[in-house]
Formats: sequence, C-alpha cells, structure tokens
Amino acid sequence: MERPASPQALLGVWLKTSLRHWLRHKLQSAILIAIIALGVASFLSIRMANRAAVKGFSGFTETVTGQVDFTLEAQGGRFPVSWLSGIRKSLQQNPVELAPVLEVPALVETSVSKQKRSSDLLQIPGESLRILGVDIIGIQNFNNQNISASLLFSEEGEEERDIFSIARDPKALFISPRLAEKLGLAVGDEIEVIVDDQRFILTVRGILPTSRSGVEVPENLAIMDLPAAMALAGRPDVVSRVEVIVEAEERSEALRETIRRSLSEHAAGRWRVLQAEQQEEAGAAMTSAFRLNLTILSLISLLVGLYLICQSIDAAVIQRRKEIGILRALGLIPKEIKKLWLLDLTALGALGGFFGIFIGWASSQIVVVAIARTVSALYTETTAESAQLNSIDCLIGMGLGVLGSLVAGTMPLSVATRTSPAKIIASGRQELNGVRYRYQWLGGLLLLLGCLSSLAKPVIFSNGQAFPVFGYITALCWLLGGALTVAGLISPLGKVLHRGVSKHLAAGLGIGKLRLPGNRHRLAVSGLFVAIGMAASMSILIGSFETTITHWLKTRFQADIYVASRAFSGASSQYFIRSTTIAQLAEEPGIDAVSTQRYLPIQFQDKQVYLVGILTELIEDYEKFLWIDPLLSLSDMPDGVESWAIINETYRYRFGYQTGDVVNLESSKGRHPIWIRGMKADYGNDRGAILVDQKYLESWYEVYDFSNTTLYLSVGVDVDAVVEDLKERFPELAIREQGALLKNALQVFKETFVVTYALKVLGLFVAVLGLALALLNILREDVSSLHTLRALGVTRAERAGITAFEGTGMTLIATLGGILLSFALGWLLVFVINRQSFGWTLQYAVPWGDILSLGILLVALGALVSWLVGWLAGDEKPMQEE
Amino acid sequence: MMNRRRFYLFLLVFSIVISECLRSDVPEFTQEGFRVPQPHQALKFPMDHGSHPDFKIEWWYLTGHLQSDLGREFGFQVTFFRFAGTKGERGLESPSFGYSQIYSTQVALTDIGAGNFYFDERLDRNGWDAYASEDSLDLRHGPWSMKMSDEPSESIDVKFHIRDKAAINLQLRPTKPRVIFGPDGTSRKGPDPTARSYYITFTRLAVSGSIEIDGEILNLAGEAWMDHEISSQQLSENLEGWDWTAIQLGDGREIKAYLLRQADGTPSEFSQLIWIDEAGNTIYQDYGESGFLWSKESFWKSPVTGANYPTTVTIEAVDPKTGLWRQITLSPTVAEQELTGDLNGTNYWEGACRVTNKAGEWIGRAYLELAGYDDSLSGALR
Repeated sequence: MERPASPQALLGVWLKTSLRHWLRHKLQSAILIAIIALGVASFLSIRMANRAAVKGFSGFTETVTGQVDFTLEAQGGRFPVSWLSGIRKSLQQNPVELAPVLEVPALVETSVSKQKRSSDLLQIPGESLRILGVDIIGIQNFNNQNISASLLFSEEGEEERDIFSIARDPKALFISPRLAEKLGLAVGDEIEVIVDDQRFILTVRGILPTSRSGVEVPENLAIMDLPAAMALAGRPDVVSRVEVIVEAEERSEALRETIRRSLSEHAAGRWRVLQAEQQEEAGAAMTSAFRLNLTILSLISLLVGLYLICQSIDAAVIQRRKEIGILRALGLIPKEIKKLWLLDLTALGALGGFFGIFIGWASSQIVVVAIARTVSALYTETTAESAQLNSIDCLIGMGLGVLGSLVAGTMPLSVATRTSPAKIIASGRQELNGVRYRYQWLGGLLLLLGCLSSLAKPVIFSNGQAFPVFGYITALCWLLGGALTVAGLISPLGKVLHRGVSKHLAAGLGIGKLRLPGNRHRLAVSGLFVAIGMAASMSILIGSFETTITHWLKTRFQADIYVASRAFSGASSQYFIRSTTIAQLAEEPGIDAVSTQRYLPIQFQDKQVYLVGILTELIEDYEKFLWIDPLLSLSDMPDGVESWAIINETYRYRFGYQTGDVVNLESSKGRHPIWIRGMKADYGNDRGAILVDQKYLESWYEVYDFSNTTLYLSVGVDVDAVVEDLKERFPELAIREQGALLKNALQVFKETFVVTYALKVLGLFVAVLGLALALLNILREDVSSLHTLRALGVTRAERAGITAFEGTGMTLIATLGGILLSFALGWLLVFVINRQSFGWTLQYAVPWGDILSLGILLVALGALVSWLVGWLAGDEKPMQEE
Repeated sequence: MMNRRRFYLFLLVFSIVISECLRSDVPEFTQEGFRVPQPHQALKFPMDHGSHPDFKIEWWYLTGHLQSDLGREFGFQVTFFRFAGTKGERGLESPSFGYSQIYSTQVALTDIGAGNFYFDERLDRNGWDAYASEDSLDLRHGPWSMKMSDEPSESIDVKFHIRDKAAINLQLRPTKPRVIFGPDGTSRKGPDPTARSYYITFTRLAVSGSIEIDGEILNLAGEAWMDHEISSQQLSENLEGWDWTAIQLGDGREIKAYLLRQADGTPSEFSQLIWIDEAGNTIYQDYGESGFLWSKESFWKSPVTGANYPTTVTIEAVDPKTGLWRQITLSPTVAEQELTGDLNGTNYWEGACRVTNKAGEWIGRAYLELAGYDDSLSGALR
C-alpha cells in the first residue's frame, strides 16, 4: 500500500531533484525560460503597442485643457468661429467653459539658433509638428476651476508666464521639452516651419512641461496663441474643434447630460457632440479590425511558442527519466510525481512570464512605431511614441507564461507519470503518448470544416467595420488539419525518399528513420509545416498586394508631375495646398492641365468616410481610374439629385450602396442627394471614399484648399526641367515626377507591412528552434542507437550526417507541405480575410522567387541545425550517467 | 460800417479770451496715447453707458442687496472691467480673437443667512466671448451679461452664475436720476491732471429677479447701486490703495465716500464724501476735521492672501440736512468677502455691510470696498 507524501516532503523532494536539475543544466533551463518568455513577449508587445497607438488619438485633447467633457466637431471638419456665440447662448447659465482649438500640422525644416549666423542653419528634415492654436488668454479661465491644469499654466515655483506679451507676439511658439532637446532649441531661438505650402519663422517662447496631470506631452506637440495659429494656417475664421469643459464642482451625470442635450439640440446638423471617451473609442473602433488582426497574429506566435515549450518539457522528461523511475521506485505515486512536475512547470512558466513581460515591453517600443506608422498611413494621424506597461499586462504575461507552460507540459507529463519504473529506467525509444498524433481522419475533417467556414460572412462591428472571424476559423482549421495530415504523410514520404538514398550510409540511416516516424518527428514536422505555411502565405498576401497596388498606381498615376505639401502623408494628412498656389502652378509655362484632389473626412450614416473633391471634367482625358464599374451615362442620372459621384470599393463594402444608387450627404448647408455613377478600385484607405466635383466641397463645406495636385505637361515639354524649375520656385512643396512618386508610394506600402514581416521572422525562428529541439530529443532518447553506431565504428561526423539527413528529410516534408498550405492560406487571406476586413479586391499573385528562396533557406537551415545537433549530441555522455 | 467792423473784432477777441479761459490744463491724451476725461464735457446717453475703447480703463460696477420672498438675504456684486491693450502693440487683431481690449469680469454672491461667500471671475480678449457695445450699455462676457433693456427708463437686465453654486437673473430699474460725479464733470483721483475719470452712477435701482441656489428657485427683490467709471489713469503715482463705500440710507438719501490712501498711510486730499439727496443733488465734503472722518474699527485677516482688511469702519460727517455731525458705522454681514484675483491679479475685499447709527440702530445698507491691502494692486490701475 503506497502512503501519500506530505506537501512539505514533496517540496523537499522537488528542491532536491527538479531544482537541482535545472541548476545543473543552466543552458537548457535558460532556453526553456527564453522560449516561454518569447511567446509571452510577442503577445504582450502587440497588445501594448496597439494600446499605445490608439491612445495616441486622444493624447492631444487630454493635454490642452486638461479634462474635456465634450468635443464639438463640425461636419467636414470646418468649424466656423461664427458658431461659437450661438453655442454660448444656447448653454445659457450652465457652468461650462468653451475652448476653441485649431490644429495646424507643420513640418520643422530647420532650426536657427540665435547665436548662429544664417549661413549655419541646421538642417533637420521632416520633424513633424502638430501646432495647437488655443486662446492663450481665454484658457486662463480654466485655471481657477480645479480642472487639471493646462499645459500653459505655470506650475508652483515656476515664473508666471506673461500671457499678454505672448498674445502680442504672432510668432510665439511653445514646444515640448523632448523636441527642444532633440533640436537643441532654447527659449528665444527661432524655428523654421512649413505649414501647407508656406514657410514661417517662429520664436520659441517657452518649453512645455514634460507631463501634466499624468499625461506625457508628446514630442511633436507645440502650442500657439489661437489668432497666431489661424494666421499661420491661413484660416482666420475656422477652428478644428471646440473643447467643452463642465466647470462644476459636482460634475453630476444629470448636469453633463443637460449640457450634452443642449449642445446637440443647437447643432442642427452642423456639429457632432463627442464625449471624451468617444473620441478615443472612435479612433479605437476605426482601427479595431487592423488591431485584431495583429493580435491574432501575435496569438499564433504564442501558439507556436507553446509548441516549443512542449518540445522542451519533453526533452526534460527524457533527461530525467531515471530520476522519475527512482522516485517511483522510492514509493511516490504517479499523482505525486505529477504534482512535482506541475510545480516545475509553474516555476518555469512564472519565470518565463516574468522575463516575457520585460522583453514584451522592450520590443513594444519598437513595434509601436511600426503600428503607429501603419495606423497613420491607413487611418488617421496618431501620436503614439512609447507603449506603457500596466498591471493587467503583467498579470496577463504571468498568466500566459504559467498557463502556457502547464498546457504544453501536459503531454510529456502524462508519459512521465504513467510509465512503470522498470520501463522508465530501461533505455530505449519512448513514444510520446502513442496514438494521439495519428488522427489523420481528424485532419481531413478539419480541412473540410475550414472550407465550409471560409464561405461564411464576417461579423460587423457597430461602427461598420467588419471582422472576418470565420476567415480566421478557416485558417485555424487548415493549420491544425494540415498539421495532422502532414504528420501522417511522413512515413509514406520517408519510404519514397529512402528508396533513392538507401545505399548511402548516413542518408540511408537518417532518412530511414522517417519510415517509422515517432511522435516527436510528427510534432516537429507539424510545427515547421505551420510556421512555413504561415510565413509563405504572408508572402503571398503581400505579393498580391504589391502586384495589385503597383497596377493600380500605374493606372492612377499617369500625370507627369505630382505636387503636395512636403509634409503630406496620405488621405488623413492635414497639410494642404492653398488655392493661390494652385493658381500660380497653373500659370507655369509648359503646363497643359492641373488636376486637384481634396480629402475631406465627413460623417456618413454615423461613420467616417472621405469625401474627395476632384475636377470631374478631367476624368478620362487626364484623370485615369482603375474602374470596377465604369461610369454610367449622364442621361441615366435621376431627377432631384444635386450631383453625381464616384465611389470606391471600400465604400460599397462598408455601406452596401452600388453604382446607380442615390445617397444623401449632410452638411451644415443641408442634405445633398447624389447619384453614384461609377465605382473605382482604391487602396489608399479603408474608410471608403465618395468622389464629387471640387465645387461641391466648396459650396457644401466651404473647403477651398487642396490635399494634392497633379500637373499634365504639354507635349514635348521636358519633365525634368519643369520639376527642377518648380522645386526652385516652390521649396515648400514636394514636387515629384511620376517614377519617383511610384517608388515613394511602394516604399510607404512596404513600411505598412513592417509588423507583419517581424511576426513572420519570429514564427520561422521559433519553428527552426523547434526542429533543433525535436532532433535533440530524438537523439537523446535513442542513446542506445548512438552507442551501437559508435561501437560499429561510425565516426562523429558520420553520426552528425545521419542526424542531418533525418532533419533535412523532416524539413523537406514540412516545407513542401507548408508551401502547399501557404497557397490555400494565401487564397484565404486575399479573397476572404482581406476582402472582409478592408473591402479591397486584390489580384492573387504568388511571389515564386520569395517562396522558393524561403523553402531553400529553410531546408538548408534544417540541414545545418540538425547536423549541428548530431555533431554536438553525438559526443554526449549516455543518459544513465546523469 | 466801422462799427460793424469793430463789433466783429470785439467778437473775435472775446471768443479767444473765453476759449482761453475755458481751456483747462488737462491734456487730451496720456503719454501712451489714450484719451483723458475732460472737464465740462457733456456726456451723451445712452451712448455713454456703453464702452469707450479710446480710454484705457473702464468698469461697470454693480452691487446690491436682495431678499427672497422667503426672507433669505443676499449681497451681490457684478463688475465688468475693460482694459485697452498697449497702443501700437496690438498683436494680431482678429474680430473673434482680438487683442485691443481685455475684459476681466468678477461676480460675487454673499449668502448672508448661511454665511457663505461665492465668487468667480473671467478673463478674455475682445471677440466672440467678450464684448462691449459702444452705442449703449450692452456687455457680454462668457455666459454673464449686463444690458440696458429699455433706454427711456434706463432699465437694465443682468445675468450671471457662479459655477454650479448659483444662477441669477435680475431686472434693475433706476428709482433716482443718474449722477455724474465731480464738480467739473470729472472725478479726480490725484494731483496728476490725467488721474481723473468720468464717473456715472445710478445710486438707487429697484431690483427684481430670481436666483437658483441649493436646488431651489427663489424670487428676489431689493436695491442696487451701479457705477460706470471711465478713465485712462485711475491712480496717481503716490497712491497705494483706497477704501470706498456706497451707502443707501433708509431715508432715501445715499452717501458715496472714498479714502485714497497715500504711500505714507495718510489720506490723499482727493478723498471725498458725497451726499446725494432724494432728488439726486450732490454735496461734496473733503477729508478732514471740516469735512468727514474715516476710522477703522476692526480688521479681518485673509487666510488666503494675508491682507489685513479694516472691514468695520465708522464715518463721521456733517449731515447737510441737519448741519450736525453724524456717525455712521459699517459692519460686514459676512466677514469673509475677499475676492482673490487669480486672473486680474488684484486681491480686494468687497462686501455687503449693514449700516448703523451711533445708537447701533439700523439706518441702511452699504457695500464696502477695500483695495491695496496687499501688494497686488500696485501698477494695476495706473
């Protein structure tokens, strides 16, 4: 009769056995902990970076006036100052402060130190600056209301700012301490900025605090007095938004609701009343699909990490077989051994989680830049600069580490506890839980299930964004089903391969092992298969994007010269070209036609879309589109509509309207019915766009500036000469000829996928490491075979060759299977997941070169790694000696 | 013919002599270029109730005493200040965000029964949220306003609130004619000829209206006093502050008195006491044994600014009605009625007071203003 051991006794045993083992095998322990840490880190870094990117949307609002209850934003973003008095009146005697804010994006080109002569101008290209114009006098009214202090208030101990002298100086600018440090600027120095297409020299009148009320001041934040900012932007009567602050000591919900209702009732369609949290939510919702995609990718890398942990724990079990046997012989029941291992796994998981949190935090600092860049390019400008770690992240990190370790250790653990002492102590090949990996029928079923799931429709969020949940289920089914299937194919493929190499000692013995593969072979091949499948399918997705976008760009960009503000960064950019500049450009010699575009974000059915102003008379003759539905005849235009429009594919996907439909746009001037005359392909944004003639942007939204312009030259005019001439005459504008623009556009496109590349590399790294561990385990487990080979006179090099062939064979099978899987996953990404997420039609293109080189690289890497494993392990002491 | 020529010559000489006699030594402009109030200048109403942007400083000062129909008593103060920006240095003047005028407004409410004092202030540039009409009395600063609603009767509507503590709507109607102070139509504040103001006052206005406080709306009635003062230099260099009061006596008369304090602590010779009789006629008395005396009875020390304010005072003056010396004591209804000027940078005590005679009997109500008891006033109004 076996007597259960007390917890103290078990702890004693654990300290003497497990702890001693891990301390004696420091490298192995470190690798295992590192693997867990890597898995946890990849998930956490994406989570933190995502959060930082979204936080960036609201960062500015929080820092200007401190605490904002509501924000008023106009339809079309143009908020005339003339509305302000009406708002004040409508609020009657409610305790409310109003702070109009004008955001002026600017580009810092040079900084001029007072001490330096003009010839020593320091060239610093492309520091983007967001200048917030606030009423420097009016904002003082917030000071005595216990509202979080604004950035412009001097803190206790600081010298009082002379607001009246600041207001008198139209060049006065406050910059962040980080920018001051970066550019070596001090109070009194001059700073040269480009706003739209104009150049200004401003004076640094003050350095903002590093943070206020716990909110860090973004590096690119600068503040000016509102009328000065208006003059800078050339918009004397417009603000970007109005911040509304309830100044009551008791800020009851009822009072806030009264104020909100009053603001909404008075709006009459002119503005929207956003609550502070809604603004952040709007940014978050807009990018939810994108961020969810990234989270899922990071979860997959965690899954791959789990697979590695499983391999590593398995390795530990093999190494400690004798120890387990002795413990069993000493009278420990399987349940107690299981407890010892659970303690082991928990300790490893906790350590891995702990380090994972730090690695995750560190890598999120890099990832956040990539995500912020993507978000800025695709959605809206974000200010994310650094990702913050919070207590929930730490809990998740530790939880994932421990849970992952426990889940991954379950299988090897059952082997360790179930096997009898005699069997354990005897050396020889031990299968990992025999039958579990032979469910090929399950593999087939999962593949079929995946096919069915791919036909389902996406889940639609409240903001209209679609999330392709069934697309991801399909991917998971195919990954798991494919893994089971490919595991089952090792033996028949091993036999085929063996036939060709049976006469060669190393190859014959190495490949021969695959004829009767163990579960470790199956697990390693499955892991590699999944990693290769995912990595190659990413290549197909990106390749398809590249092919489609290159085609689109080549159709779209047929003008000779493209002009935008030097700071223009895409549809969400707020850098414009003023109409006076357009007029000057049109008068340049050699210009045949000038076409303009203006992106205006508007609300349509409570969602944000772009209204794009173009010169419709130039369509076809000059402006080329990649048509999905070509333009209908104007004679089909129904009565009662104000105009016709072209929509893009994303718009159709988000709102369901098609060519021939009539939709209503709202502006402060009323409702405008427009007829959809055609649909074009567009990969510039995923919000959706409606293109109308520029004159409607002017009459409906009073927008008179332009996002960019294209110049068509007369026949025979030298493009390069005109470009050079224009560059000299308009130094504030980015002037590119067609080829340079294409190159630039593709560069931006590649940058957008930088996070995806990083995850791909991480996945492959984990897979190759998994292969190495699997081979190590196989060899360690089969020590008797090694001894036999050694006794037969097989040299260390030959033994390494045998392992190399075994590993190469496995890699080859996994690679071939993985590439096949990637074609299916690539199809899924292009036609299901991408279309459901963004509404873009892409051409399916396989980047053969990429995939081939990836395959060759992996097989070579597999051969090298397995050779190294054979070489190093071939000289190892027999297990029994431990 | 000759006679006619002599007559014209006489007219010319006479005109020159008269204009030379009338011409004062008051400069038309200050050194900064702002207008200086001129003696014997006829003011035009309702236009002169409005703003005078050519003058550097201007304020509309309303104080009063209110009772609710349930007997709750309040004192209130609404003051709109206008300061002109430095001439020639006006930055970027835009219609919505100007710099030529800065408005500073202070509102206060004394809840006498509860012993509470509430106060709020605003600071803005001229533009969409701060405005003063030049045609009539029409002031708006944020959600607060003061507007002449009926020109013949010179009735005025006032709206203000103090955060979420109280919201007040008042209608004011003059019950006595307006008074323009100063024997020559300007009120002098020091030996410097530019230190003078146009000083227009409604010494008694009947008030009706309502207040929303503590979740209740109460109907109000009472009396108020309103000053409108226009100047370009309010204090001479050697003055460091003033004690000022507006007393509404129960017999239908009013007293305005101010003590201009010099740097050495003595009252300036320009300190004055003015009796306003039932018909609105004024009688001026200078400070001193032959005019009026002002003694400080007790002090209240501000825990915020540290200023020691003489909040209970006794004024002794010869009553023009009886020709006898009369003693009038002002005691604060609530001790803590200090306005700490975070925005306009000036701390002062301005409070509702009860007025008693030598026997301690109630004889009226007053507002008392005590300025320059810390160093925040120096330079602010010069």
